[in-house]
Amino acid sequence: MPGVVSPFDFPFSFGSADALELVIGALLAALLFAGPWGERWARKLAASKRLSMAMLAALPVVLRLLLLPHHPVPQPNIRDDFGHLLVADTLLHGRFANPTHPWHEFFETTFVLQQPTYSSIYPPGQGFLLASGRFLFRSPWAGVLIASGALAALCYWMLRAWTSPLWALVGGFLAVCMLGPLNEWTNIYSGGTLSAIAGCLVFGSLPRIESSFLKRDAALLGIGVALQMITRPFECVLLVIAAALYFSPWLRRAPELRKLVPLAAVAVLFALSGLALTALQNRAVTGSFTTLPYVLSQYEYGVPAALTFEPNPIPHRELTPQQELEYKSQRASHGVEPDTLTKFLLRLEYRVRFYRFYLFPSLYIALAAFLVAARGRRRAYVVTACAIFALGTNFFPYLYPRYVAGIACLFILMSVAGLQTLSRVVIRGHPAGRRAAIVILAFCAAQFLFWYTLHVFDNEDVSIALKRFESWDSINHRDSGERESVERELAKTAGQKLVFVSYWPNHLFQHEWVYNAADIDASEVVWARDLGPERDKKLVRYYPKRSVWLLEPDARPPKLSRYEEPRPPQQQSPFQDVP
Amino acid sequence: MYLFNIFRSFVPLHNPLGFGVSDLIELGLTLLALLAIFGYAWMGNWLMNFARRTAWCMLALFVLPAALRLALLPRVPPPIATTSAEFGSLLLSDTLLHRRLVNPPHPFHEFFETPLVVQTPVYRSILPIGDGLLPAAGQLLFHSNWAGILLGVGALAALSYWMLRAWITPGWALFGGVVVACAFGPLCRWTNSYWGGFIAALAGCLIVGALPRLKQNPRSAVFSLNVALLGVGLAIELLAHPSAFCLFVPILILAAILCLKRLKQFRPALLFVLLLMYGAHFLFWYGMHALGETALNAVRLYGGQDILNSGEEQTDRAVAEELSREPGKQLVFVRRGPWRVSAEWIHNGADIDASKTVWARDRGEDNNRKLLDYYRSRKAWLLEPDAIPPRLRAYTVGTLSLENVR
Repeated sequence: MPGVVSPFDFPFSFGSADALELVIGALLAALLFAGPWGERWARKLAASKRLSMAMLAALPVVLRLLLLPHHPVPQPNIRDDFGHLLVADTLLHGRFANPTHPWHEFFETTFVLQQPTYSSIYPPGQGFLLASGRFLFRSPWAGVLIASGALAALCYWMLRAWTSPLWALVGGFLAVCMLGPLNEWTNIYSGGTLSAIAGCLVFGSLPRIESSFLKRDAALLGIGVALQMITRPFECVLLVIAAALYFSPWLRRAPELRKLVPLAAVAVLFALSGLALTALQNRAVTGSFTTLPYVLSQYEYGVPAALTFEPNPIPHRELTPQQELEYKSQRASHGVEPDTLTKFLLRLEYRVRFYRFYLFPSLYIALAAFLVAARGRRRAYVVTACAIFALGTNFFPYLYPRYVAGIACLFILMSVAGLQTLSRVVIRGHPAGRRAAIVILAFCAAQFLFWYTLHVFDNEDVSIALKRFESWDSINHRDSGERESVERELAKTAGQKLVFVSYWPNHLFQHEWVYNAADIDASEVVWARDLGPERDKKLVRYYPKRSVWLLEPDARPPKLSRYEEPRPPQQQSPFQDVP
Repeated sequence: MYLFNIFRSFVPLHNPLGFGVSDLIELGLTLLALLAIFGYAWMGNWLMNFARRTAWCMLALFVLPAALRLALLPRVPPPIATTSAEFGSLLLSDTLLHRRLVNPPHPFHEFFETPLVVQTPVYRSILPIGDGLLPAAGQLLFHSNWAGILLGVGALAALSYWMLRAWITPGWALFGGVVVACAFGPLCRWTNSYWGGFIAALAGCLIVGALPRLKQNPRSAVFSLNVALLGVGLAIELLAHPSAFCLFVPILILAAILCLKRLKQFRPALLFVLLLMYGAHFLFWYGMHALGETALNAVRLYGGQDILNSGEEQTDRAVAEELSREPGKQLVFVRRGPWRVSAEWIHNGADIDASKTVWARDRGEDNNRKLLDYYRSRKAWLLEPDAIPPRLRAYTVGTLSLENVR
């Protein structure tokens, strides 16, 4: 179909757009046809909290596993992935930091400290998740997948505190569709899901504490804060502010405030566990309980970029060419001039586009309905909490959707509450609002099913042609990375290997290849920078039993060859190949 | 301004809302669906009352498709004839406007041989007279053949409603009229060519609409009127296409509306989706035409049969504009290449000698000289439509002038 341009070449005289229209129409019709049955079924299911949570937890996992034939277990691809996997591996070795390698200059890479310890600069939260996946299922991705299921279930749990069970279930399904199998968080190792789970725990606990004053809910609130602290410490501050704001009206009501004190103590106690873990990691990695690894990285390497109101960090050690470029890039995104209100507001407006990550296009209408009808303390609070995160994360010089993952559940809450508001609209006796809400939900389901089905039939011409129109979904494909094919090539040779990575002058600095496990010497493959024949020789001697390889990742395709020790100058051929 | 920026780029990270093209389509569809739901709830009763006012409804439906097409004029100009069938219809129209059914043969008729036109014993189009009626009416009333086509589409929408009123409730009849106005309206091939089609469909509507009305009291004046309308329908039908084909369009409309009515009883949701997609389809392609060439070119590749103005028509238009700039009368010899890449070019009016431009076949220098002698006062041209790009040059016997007009 996609190759067909002329309608006359196609059965029924259809053009590509006509065929697409037919598919979308059929999908919508099927969804609306099944609507009444679906509603009855959903009502029954929503009555049972445990069953709903179990189903919602299983759904994203099952749906993603069904895609495995075309979208296998993702391979780590970006710097953040490797950073979190190093944390996981370090944790699995029963420590927060690894001893510095004697030849650490060969292993210099982005977002990894080599001294005083060999450690990732990331907090331990995502690492715990990946480590649990590796520990239980021998695959760090299993942890990611389990977290994806937990997020959908906890979204439902959170929404139960804010809305009716049926609408909470609707929200749970929206979480599956938007943050489930096709979402970036489920298909990479750098996280987002855990922070979103923390948000669910916190925002789900708040109304429960208000209504029932149970210590269990306070404990869950504390766990949520702790989880956020070990996942994204800066946003944890925003989450705590948002949580505290919920109880601010109680400050004027002494009797209720008195009831709140023991609950606050419980919450703080659990939250302290996160603080303790952070402090322990700090101590192990940086030698100080109060210095975060990324702060030390800023001091040593000048990255990651500081918050916009802070001055640019200055590196205090010799950087590799790639680290130098990374530093310059981050410094440029931070800007040399001090931040101003105008710049701050422009950034805030620009970043509106990233919220599409959390909302299907049709849900923007529900969001508008929510904002128009956002009266009452609870609704105003939700808007304020979102504003706190939007303003707080605006101090980052750049933004990824996971920075605001803590309020992922609030985006879903606003969508659901907007739909609920819309569904109450009656015009001249017609339940027009209810129909409108059903139609919006049908469009959301159709959006998900359409792209999911295309991924099920990933290699078909239709899928290939339409894929470029898919926005915000992010799922890995078979053999998506060059690293995967190089690793396959290396696996064909028995024994341990040492791979020198030699970058060409045109190398894109973000494409880093030198990443290693927590215990470098015990690794099957050791990736090292090519520092020139004289220095390389030392590392080759350090690893006498390893077969030595040279990788030139900038060749097309990347060139992997046996590493040959340079011959003396008199034996060198005058006709050597120049890369 | 910010709202406009939403359409500046469809690359998600360049779009202020983070929307890709599929997102915008989805949002557009959802908004349309909500508009339909709330609009129907708000105006449903008023529309039902309006649907009972036959004259007003017919007037509104008559105006609707023509107005929609006229609104596109700044972006999509009136069509020009490019095919033999269209030339045949226009010759027929011109013949009728000369108050005759056939024209005398031309002394040099061999130069004017073209498909669907007989040259001897009389010079006329082989198409039935009905095909020339609408262009002739347009020419007579508005000095434009195409105006007649627009009158035809308006009449079809209005008469479809009138026909449906005899078979179905007023609300559904009005709905049917609107569907016809969209389906056969501004983006339809019939509205944007001179192929004909409307006249037969109009006849069909009169026949199918009059038949059930004959059940009324035979002595009433309304009965006589319906008999007369049936007769008019049959007469036009005989003039247009003397076959039962004319009944195809009205019966198709009737069947479609009856099916939709049944669908509403069976599953209203399905009807809703059907209408939503139909409305979205029409609005999308209409909107693309209204936005202009850039928007249309972006989606042209994916289009079905709703895209107006083919490249071939643009070539014809350029040649016609070039000739119209020249003062006085013209004679154009058309030289075809060994392979034909464009449609027919030989088309002349009913009175060839009086035409501003005479289109003749290139029959070699010796033969061409005779026609040049016959039309001494005309400026001669040679058109090579199969050249890439098509060439139009001044023509003199013996040598071709180097004056390259285009």
